[in-house]
Amino acid sequence: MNKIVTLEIIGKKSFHLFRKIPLVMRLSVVFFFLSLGIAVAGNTYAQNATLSLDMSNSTIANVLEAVENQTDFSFIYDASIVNTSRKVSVKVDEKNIFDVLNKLFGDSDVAYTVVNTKIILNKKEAIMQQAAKTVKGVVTDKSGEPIIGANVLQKGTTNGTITDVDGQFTLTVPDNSIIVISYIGYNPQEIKYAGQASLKVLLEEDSQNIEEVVVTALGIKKKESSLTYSTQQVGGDELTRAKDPNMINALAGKTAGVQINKSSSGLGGSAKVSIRGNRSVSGNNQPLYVIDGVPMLNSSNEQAVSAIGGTADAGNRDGGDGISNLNPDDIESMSILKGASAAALYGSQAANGVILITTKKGKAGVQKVTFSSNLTVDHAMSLPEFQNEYGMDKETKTSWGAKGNLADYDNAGDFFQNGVTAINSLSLTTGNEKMQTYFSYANTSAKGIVEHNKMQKHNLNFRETASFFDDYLKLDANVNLMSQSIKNRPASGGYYMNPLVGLYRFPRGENIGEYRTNFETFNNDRNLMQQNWYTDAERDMEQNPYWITNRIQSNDKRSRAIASLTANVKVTDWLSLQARGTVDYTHDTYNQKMYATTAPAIAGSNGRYIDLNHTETLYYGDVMAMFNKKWDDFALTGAIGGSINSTTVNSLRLDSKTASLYYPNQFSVANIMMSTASYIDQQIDQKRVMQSIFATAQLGWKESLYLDLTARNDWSSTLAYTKHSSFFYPSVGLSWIINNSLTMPEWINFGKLRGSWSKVGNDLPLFISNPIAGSNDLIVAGGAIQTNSKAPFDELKPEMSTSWEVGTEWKFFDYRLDFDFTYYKTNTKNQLFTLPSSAGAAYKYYYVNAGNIQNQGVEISLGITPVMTEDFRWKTSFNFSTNKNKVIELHPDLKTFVYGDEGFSSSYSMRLVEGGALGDIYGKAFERDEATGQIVFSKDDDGDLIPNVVGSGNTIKVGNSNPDFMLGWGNTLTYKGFSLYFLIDGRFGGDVLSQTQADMDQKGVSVESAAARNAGFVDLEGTQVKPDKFYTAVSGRNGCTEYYMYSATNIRLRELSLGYTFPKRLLEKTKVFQDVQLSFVGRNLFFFHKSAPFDPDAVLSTGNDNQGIDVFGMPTTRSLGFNVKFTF
Amino acid sequence: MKKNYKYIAAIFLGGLIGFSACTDDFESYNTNQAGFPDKSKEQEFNKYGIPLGVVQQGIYFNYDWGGGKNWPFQVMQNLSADMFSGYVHDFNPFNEGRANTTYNMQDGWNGSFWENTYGYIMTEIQKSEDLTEKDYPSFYGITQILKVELIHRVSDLYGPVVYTQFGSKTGSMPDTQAAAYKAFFEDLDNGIGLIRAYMEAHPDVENFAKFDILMPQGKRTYSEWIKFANSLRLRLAVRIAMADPQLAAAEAKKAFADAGGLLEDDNDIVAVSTDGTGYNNPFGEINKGWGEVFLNANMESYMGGYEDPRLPKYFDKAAGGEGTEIVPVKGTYKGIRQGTGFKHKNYSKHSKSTVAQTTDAVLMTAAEVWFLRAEAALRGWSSENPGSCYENGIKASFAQWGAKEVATYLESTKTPKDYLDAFDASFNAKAVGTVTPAWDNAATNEEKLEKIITQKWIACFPEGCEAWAEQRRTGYPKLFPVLVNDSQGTIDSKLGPRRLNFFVGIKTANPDQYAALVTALGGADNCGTRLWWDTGRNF
Repeated sequence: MNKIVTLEIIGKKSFHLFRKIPLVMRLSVVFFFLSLGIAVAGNTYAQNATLSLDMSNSTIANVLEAVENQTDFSFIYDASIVNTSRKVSVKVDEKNIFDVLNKLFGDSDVAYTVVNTKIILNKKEAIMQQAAKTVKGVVTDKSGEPIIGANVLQKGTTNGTITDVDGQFTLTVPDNSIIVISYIGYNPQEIKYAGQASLKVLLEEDSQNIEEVVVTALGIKKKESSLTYSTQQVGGDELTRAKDPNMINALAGKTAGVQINKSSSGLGGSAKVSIRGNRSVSGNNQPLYVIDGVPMLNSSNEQAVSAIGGTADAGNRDGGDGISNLNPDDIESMSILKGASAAALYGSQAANGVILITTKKGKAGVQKVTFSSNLTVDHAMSLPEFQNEYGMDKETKTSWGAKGNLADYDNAGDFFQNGVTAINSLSLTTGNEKMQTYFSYANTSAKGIVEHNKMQKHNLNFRETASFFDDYLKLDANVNLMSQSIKNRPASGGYYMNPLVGLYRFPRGENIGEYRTNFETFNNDRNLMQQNWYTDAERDMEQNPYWITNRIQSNDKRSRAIASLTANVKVTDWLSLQARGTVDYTHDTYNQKMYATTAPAIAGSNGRYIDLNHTETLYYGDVMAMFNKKWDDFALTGAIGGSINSTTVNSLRLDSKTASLYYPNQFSVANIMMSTASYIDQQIDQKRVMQSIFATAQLGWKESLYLDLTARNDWSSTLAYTKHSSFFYPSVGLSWIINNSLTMPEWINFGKLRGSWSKVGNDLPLFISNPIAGSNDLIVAGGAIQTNSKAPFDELKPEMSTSWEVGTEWKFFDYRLDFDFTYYKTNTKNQLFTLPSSAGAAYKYYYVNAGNIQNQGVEISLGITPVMTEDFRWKTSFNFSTNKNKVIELHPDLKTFVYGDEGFSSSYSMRLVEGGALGDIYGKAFERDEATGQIVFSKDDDGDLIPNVVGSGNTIKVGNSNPDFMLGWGNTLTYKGFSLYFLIDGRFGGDVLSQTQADMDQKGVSVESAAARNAGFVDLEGTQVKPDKFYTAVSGRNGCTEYYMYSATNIRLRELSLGYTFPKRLLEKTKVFQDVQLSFVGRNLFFFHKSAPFDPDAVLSTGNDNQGIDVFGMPTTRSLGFNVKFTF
Repeated sequence: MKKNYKYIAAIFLGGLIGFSACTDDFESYNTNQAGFPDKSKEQEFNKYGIPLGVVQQGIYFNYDWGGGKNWPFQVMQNLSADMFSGYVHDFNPFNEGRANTTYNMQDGWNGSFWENTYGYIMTEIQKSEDLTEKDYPSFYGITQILKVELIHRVSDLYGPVVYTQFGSKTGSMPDTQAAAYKAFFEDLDNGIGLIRAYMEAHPDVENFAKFDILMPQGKRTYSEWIKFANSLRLRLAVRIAMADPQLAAAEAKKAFADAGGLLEDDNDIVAVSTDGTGYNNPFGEINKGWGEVFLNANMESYMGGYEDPRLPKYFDKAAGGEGTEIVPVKGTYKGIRQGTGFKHKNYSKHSKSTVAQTTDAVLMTAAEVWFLRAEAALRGWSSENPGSCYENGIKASFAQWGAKEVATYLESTKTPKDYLDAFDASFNAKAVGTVTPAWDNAATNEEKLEKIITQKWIACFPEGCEAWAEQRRTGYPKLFPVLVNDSQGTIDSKLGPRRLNFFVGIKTANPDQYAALVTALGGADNCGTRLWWDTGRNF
């Protein structure tokens, strides 16, 4: 069956939605659907498609049905006007539709119009009642874009047509009749026809009709204008315009209040997304990702844990996140629920906001094949600057040697190659009114900027939507398969197994080429190849970079399948029931081979082998009853339901660590000498289950006042053994659409005030409440016992964020200016702190729920269309956000909370104190005179002045990693087929620590250390200090933190694309392409301003700690490339 | 029709409530399947043995709480006590040569002994006490002995300790070192008493043997633990000889008087066994595995000067060949001088320790006990002959290391030699020690004590904690002063550091406890403040 909405059915079935709607509206709805599919075949289908019929004495209705069965055509008519019970006999063989229609209606009173695959039947006299003329016309919007599928109707009749792909129509109408042109979302226009040969119609957008529907929590759709909180919609094109292998990075700078930091681990790296600032000290600060209403896994099997070394000293590793797995081409749109109120329906997962992803599905009447190809070249930028005047000191093997004419080797520059990322994706979509299919395949193939680093990703997506029993039952099934392989992913920073340490420290004026070619030399005694490097010192920290890239090999694989099914049953026209289920299965394998003679402190003498097998499975199911009812001025929509969410982790990591291998350079589990010096980590069926019931309701009054209520109760397995088995999360919101209740001046198109309040939670770690003696003791490798060092916590409560927000939205000057303002305040209490107990306590750590951490901020977005002519349009948008974090209260036992690396042998630690803020960085600083603020110097044995450095143990606050505010400025300029987009974004304020710089100064390789030597002194706030003595006192990994803090302020050209869309007329001639777009794209092109010696937006870890610190992180990259997109 | 909806709604809501109510499995979900619950540990009595296993690995710390092994030992002991005692030195110029070696005291290292002992080991003592006090008094007795051995090492590094008031949720108030020592003696009394009572009641039961990784193979008996306890008492008594002479004498006499006796056979060596126990000697790992433990110039001066037959047992000959040697080092026993602030890595081919991962980690030897007896005799606490005890100590040490020609050594009048740096003549030093190995009955008590302590120092190798404590108490052996002192005036170059400062984290995590600790110390919390037993006088 291929019917759209046949009025015959409408006439018979009593429950149909369209029953009471006038024909014009009905047709416009039809045409709206048509417009989605209009791009398909044009009238070429009607010309080319043939059919055969042999029916005698059949009703017209039967014949029409037979035609529909054989072809893609569907008929649209009003059964009260067109008599379909008339009996006819037809016999045609391989004829086109016009032959058939002529046979059927040629001598009847029925006229037909064929538009693509839709055939509209109407009474002839309605059209022919007066002497008619044929008028041609074109319908466009304000930007001159043709409106396809607009409804063109002679007023008071059923004589009409719709516009074609070029917005053109032809209609025969009598003089002095009135032609009504309408299209969903535009003000209808009436034109008095006075015999013009052609008409040019410009339709204006109409707010009243743009009932833009947005997806809110749990996939419930609401009118955007009714929302009581701030959300931001992002179209799929924002993700695909200039693609990033981790698609979420493409959102950076585009949304107010959303900060996205890329991990510095290169290809396939994770992203740290924080919405409205961080609020949890030890809990999760990343948003919940939801695909088509159901949650998705976004966990990472590993993140950088320290500024030195990673899990079991294997080097910091970024295990990748879940969001990076998706194919951006599959994304229809994203809805970012920034505030807690928006996300409150997700209860204890909602504290950090929710990113709702709506994926593409097939559309009725649309058959489309899209192929896009994206090729970008990545080039390392923001590399440190090296001096080239002072060579190697033979004794210390640092670059504190004599001044001389050094050979100019660009050792660091030569190390990095151009990375290449190629993303090809193909999508096919087809569908009719009953079944729609979407299929896509994407292939990402990339080469990193470090040799041997490669990535390969395949995405396969199949989605089928279908309706049964006259739309009473709708099924939506989606299967998403992903396979990814990353070879030799570089460390995201830190000292261990990081090639950049050796690379940057390598003495100036020396050629690293020798160590590149001969990164290994033959060891006669052992009869094997051994690492070759200029120094034996600090072998754990510093190894030959080419040894690391060639002889420390890793292979990171992920297979993922997400399958989901939604069934929706319409019970009445105001009530429907829905059940959804999803399985998200992620299987990661990882192995790392370190050859014999890798640093002995972190690998065995015969090498080291790590084998990780990690699976994570999410089962989610929910059922919901959704209702939608109107009484006079009131409208009530709502839902009530329950859900169950269960994740299970099974993981086994086997690591020979320093226990070594039985036989050198044979990498298998059996070759690992499993002793207490090795490392085993196993997670057996670690299960986290949450059962919830929830309800939400929205009451609207006269489309101007809306009251939103949500309530959710969560029972979480992580709360087992505690006094509180469940938690309740309510929210309430109110919005007032001013222009719907007050008369506003013409130039104000839309105005709204909104406010909301909510309480949401944050999930808890597993097992910490378990009081069973010894249940958290572990047997570790070699049979050693690792007893639990944390006191069980039976008072455990989930973190609770209470938040409120107020906001206002305005649209002015025919929607050419829009403005959105939000102020929010969030107080997060019951934070889970792991406190170190002091000597004398029965456990090293104990937990408390405490604290009050406040975030407040403002988000403003402003959109302007300053220029809009037929050919040229300029749209510009600004977003501004600021978030201020404050620790109002910690815990009576807790004056200072230290999280992250406690900074042993390091100059960095993160601490919280009351009155401080999350992201505060502590370290060492210059001692200052309390009265004058001047740095205190002391004289050494030689009588030279040395600045005093205080704060041993990293106790002095030296900065905060969070920005003061962020700004994004996006611009779209279109001229005919050309389109230019650029995004400039900046973060202002905040501080970052560069331990890389501190280390490079210590080794004398930095350009600053040479400048100081040339000058003969370092000017430290007016006091001259001898360079070698200054850097001895200040530089290095555990040097003076204050001196190596930099402003994180940076402004960059984040994204640029210049595209060209071929004119449709040209493409039509090819009869193959519907749409061809070519574009040049660039990401991260350059900095307008940057103070830090590295890209301060790159992060070592996506966790809470190790923020605002650079420890030999991979340099950030500039990507330039091309995009080609073909639609068939 | 309408009724149908009601049914559907009823079923639907019923289903909702139904599936939301089954939270019965939550407790099992929230239990770690990879855990090792005490219930399972009941089998084979592991519940009682495991905490004591952790403690036995946590004295000479190589217990892995999840943060890795070996490196904690390196920062807890090897880069402080083991170096300050004059035993060893790292070739690696950490922080460009400005770290503990030049008294640029690294808080992160120096606090770790405190932090790890209290965080991971003392907690197990507490657990063991709770488990065994009622039902397993002999295990409880062993716990008491282990507790003293564990915490006296902490106290000897920092001074005041948390001891008598241990066992709270967030941390307890400290004891002064004097109070802690009193408590140590009482706990030894208690431990010995309980074990003895158990032995008398169950003469043939050695049920701690399977958990025992400290007593020598073949002697994993309760009676050996009593010997160890008596010897420990003697060690502690000698330590406080000048701080509290009455108590010292009384406790020393008690140690001699106890029927259980002292460690005195050559194989009476209390050491953490690496044989099938899963314990690796951390000193061995950072030496053999990482290559970071080298002969200290002091040890080179004394043992080299004495041509001590144990020197080849302790250290390998230097390979040499790095840098520009002004003194050829190949084939010699060549050490590194502390406190020169060197920045190069050329010492990497100097003499490395012989201690391996599989070497048992020695905590107390019969030799040490003989030297304790020598000093006790010297002080008149016993009627033994100081000279014979001294010589027995040397013999026991030679036997322990398999060194030959002890007789010649006992007659030796060789003296320590000057130190010559391989690369920088300005690091050279005249020998500071003058005593000879040969005993001299005519010598002054001070000189006799210097001999006793010097030989004890050699014999105690490589247990730097004990050696450094005795060196601070007595000033022997005399050590080379540092050339570079980065302590910003807190440490006297001649005296050297007198202690380690408290873990810096206490200041913020528990300021009350920190304040009480500083009060109990009775001086500034820096590395120059003398401990209670460190009176600066020997007689």
